[in-house]
Amino acid sequence: MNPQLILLIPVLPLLAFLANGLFGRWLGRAGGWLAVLCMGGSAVIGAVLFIGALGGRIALPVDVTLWQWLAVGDLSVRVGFHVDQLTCLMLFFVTLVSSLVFLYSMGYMEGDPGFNRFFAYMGLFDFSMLVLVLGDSLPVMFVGWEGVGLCSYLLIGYYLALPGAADAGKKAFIVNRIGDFGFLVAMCMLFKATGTLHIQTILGEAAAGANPLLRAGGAFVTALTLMLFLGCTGKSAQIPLFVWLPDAMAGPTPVSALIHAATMVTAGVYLMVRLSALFALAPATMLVVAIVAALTAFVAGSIALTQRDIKKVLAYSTVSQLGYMFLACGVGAFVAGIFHVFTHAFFKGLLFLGAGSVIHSAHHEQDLFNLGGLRRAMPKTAVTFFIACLAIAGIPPLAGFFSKDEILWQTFASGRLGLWVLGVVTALMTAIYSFRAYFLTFEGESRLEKAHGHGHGDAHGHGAVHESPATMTIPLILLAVGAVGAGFLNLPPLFLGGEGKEGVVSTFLEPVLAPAREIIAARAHMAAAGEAVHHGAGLEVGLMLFSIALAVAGLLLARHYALKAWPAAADRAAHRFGSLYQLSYHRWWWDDFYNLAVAGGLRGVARLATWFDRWIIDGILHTIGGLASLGSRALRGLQNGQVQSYALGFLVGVNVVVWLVLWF
Amino acid sequence: MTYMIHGNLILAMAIFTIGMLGILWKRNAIAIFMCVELMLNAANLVFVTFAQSLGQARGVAVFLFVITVAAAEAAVGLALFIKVFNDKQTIEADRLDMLQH
Repeated sequence: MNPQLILLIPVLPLLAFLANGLFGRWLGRAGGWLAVLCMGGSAVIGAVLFIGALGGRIALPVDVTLWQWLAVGDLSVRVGFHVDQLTCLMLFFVTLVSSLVFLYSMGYMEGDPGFNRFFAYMGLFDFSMLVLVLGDSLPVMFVGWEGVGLCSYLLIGYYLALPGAADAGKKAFIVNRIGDFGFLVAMCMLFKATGTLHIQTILGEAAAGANPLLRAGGAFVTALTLMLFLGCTGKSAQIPLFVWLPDAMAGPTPVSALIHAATMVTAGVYLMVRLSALFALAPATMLVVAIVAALTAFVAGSIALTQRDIKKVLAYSTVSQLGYMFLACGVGAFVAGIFHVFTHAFFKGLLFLGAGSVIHSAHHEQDLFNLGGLRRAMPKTAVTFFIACLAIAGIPPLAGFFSKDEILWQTFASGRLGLWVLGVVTALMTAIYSFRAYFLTFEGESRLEKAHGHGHGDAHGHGAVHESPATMTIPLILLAVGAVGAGFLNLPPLFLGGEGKEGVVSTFLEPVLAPAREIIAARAHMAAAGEAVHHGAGLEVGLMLFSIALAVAGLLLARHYALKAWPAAADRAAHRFGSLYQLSYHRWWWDDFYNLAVAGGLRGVARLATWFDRWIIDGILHTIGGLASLGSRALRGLQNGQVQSYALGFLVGVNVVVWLVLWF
Repeated sequence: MTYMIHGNLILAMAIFTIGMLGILWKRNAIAIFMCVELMLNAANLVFVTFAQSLGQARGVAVFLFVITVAAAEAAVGLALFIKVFNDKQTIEADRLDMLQH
């Protein structure tokens, strides 16, 4: 494959950005179609690249060096792209899901006054994400990393007039900055250790094990990877920096789909998998990652159970699923992590676009308690949404089943049973909250009219709820196909009549992840020679059946509470588990805690600084100024305009000087 | 010879002091102006005296310059007084005190 074609993948979205940003006023709706075409072109190249690489027809890795960016002292950074198996996988689904979201936006954003601004931001967003994925050195990656942060800020705050939107945008940006700080520190530490920022060189040194600073289990590499993980928690919304993601719902729904499915939040997981050899060197960091991830999955899953806003449910669901991805990485199963990123992109994109379709049709009603019974009016949205729920809940043979079950199995196999229990409970909650959202939205009686007054809606020309236009339903259907089929990609060829027990994607990614796997295997070998825990296939199948049972149980529970006995049973349950319900409904008071501890503390510091500025700094300045003012008040009496008094002054002065000179 | 120098210098000092005190005490601007002329001429007398006693022409040259400048200055100064008088109906120095704090 021609390397220039790979360059087109990020350049096309950039083109969409430039066209809509500079000439949007004249392009109008055509600008949107141009963006869709550009993104679609990227997706086609991405797919060709991925399929070619998967079939072994394209030799990987491919390195493209563009130009020397900067050279200062020992530091030399070139702008270059590195395309290996991992990059191919990321490029494939990022461009695919993005192009579908772009197409969907044509319907969703129709008639919006900022139509072209929207597509410009979206193009820049995808460009940044693709630079992040393609970059062959950390600074280039960082450009993309910051770019997605900027674009998320612009897009979350897209509805400029909404009071909450600008705040949500700022929150996303600031919280991300905290994470970026970690990334920057880690970059400096890596430069100190290896003298380069080129990723493949760094990974090579990490795998070789000759670098004294990158010694396995060393304090330096542990601190370094913890800093990197701080960056990941910012971008990928893990505890403690996950609070921005739910607020990001203030943006238009396609943006949420883009952030949650294709770009932005997957960046953290990507970074961790990309630098897996470094993380593998620091078992302490891996443990921290696994614990934080499992807690995040659990906390976010529990919050999603009781949220009333359909987009909030999905947002916390994303946080929870990201927890799964990091959990997989934390226990060393990087393939399972990145494969969950891959499948998650399809069904989470589908969930968000489905929710957007509902919101679009239901006159911007997002409260689950005011929706209901929409299946009859919008069958395509309902069916695709249901498929996405099945996928995320982990019902076989949909995509989520393969990836999530692999993560749970790997966690179990790693011997960290506490984390496994958290993961399993989260799996149950995943099924409950996603089906709760489905049943409350699409099944049962419609509560829309009750919420908006009887019949008033029609009189005001709102019209009845109807299915969304084709530009919106076609992406839904295509993503539903992905949500059903993406999981099969990692089926062992054995099942398809071929050879080998490893999944297709696992085999495909093996060259990228081999160093990390070898480091971990070497440590396991040293720590417990001969004590290798070997779990039989029977246990794996048993656990698989267990998690399927959990998913079905979740479905039935949600059906009971959200459909059959709604709302009485739900109310009773909320009363019986009053404190737990409050804990979940108020999101564990995370935001309030930050308000109190972080924002409150900063406000206290600011108040102290104000006092210091007003009384100490200003006091000193006012004293100096006041003295000068007093002195001049005394002296200005001398300037009385009487020329003769000045002459007297000369006389006296000259006499004094002359006498002084004569005297000495 | 020495006697003449002493006499001239004492006379010049007297004229200079009269001019200086006049500047401080007189109120009319023209009187002040005349006092300035007195001081200039006191200085001239010293120049001429020393030119004579030392037998050098330079002192006389300076004296000629000073006389010229004083004449020009008198012309400018008188013109200014006329303008000020037109404006303020007075040329008394203690009442022309607008240029103050």
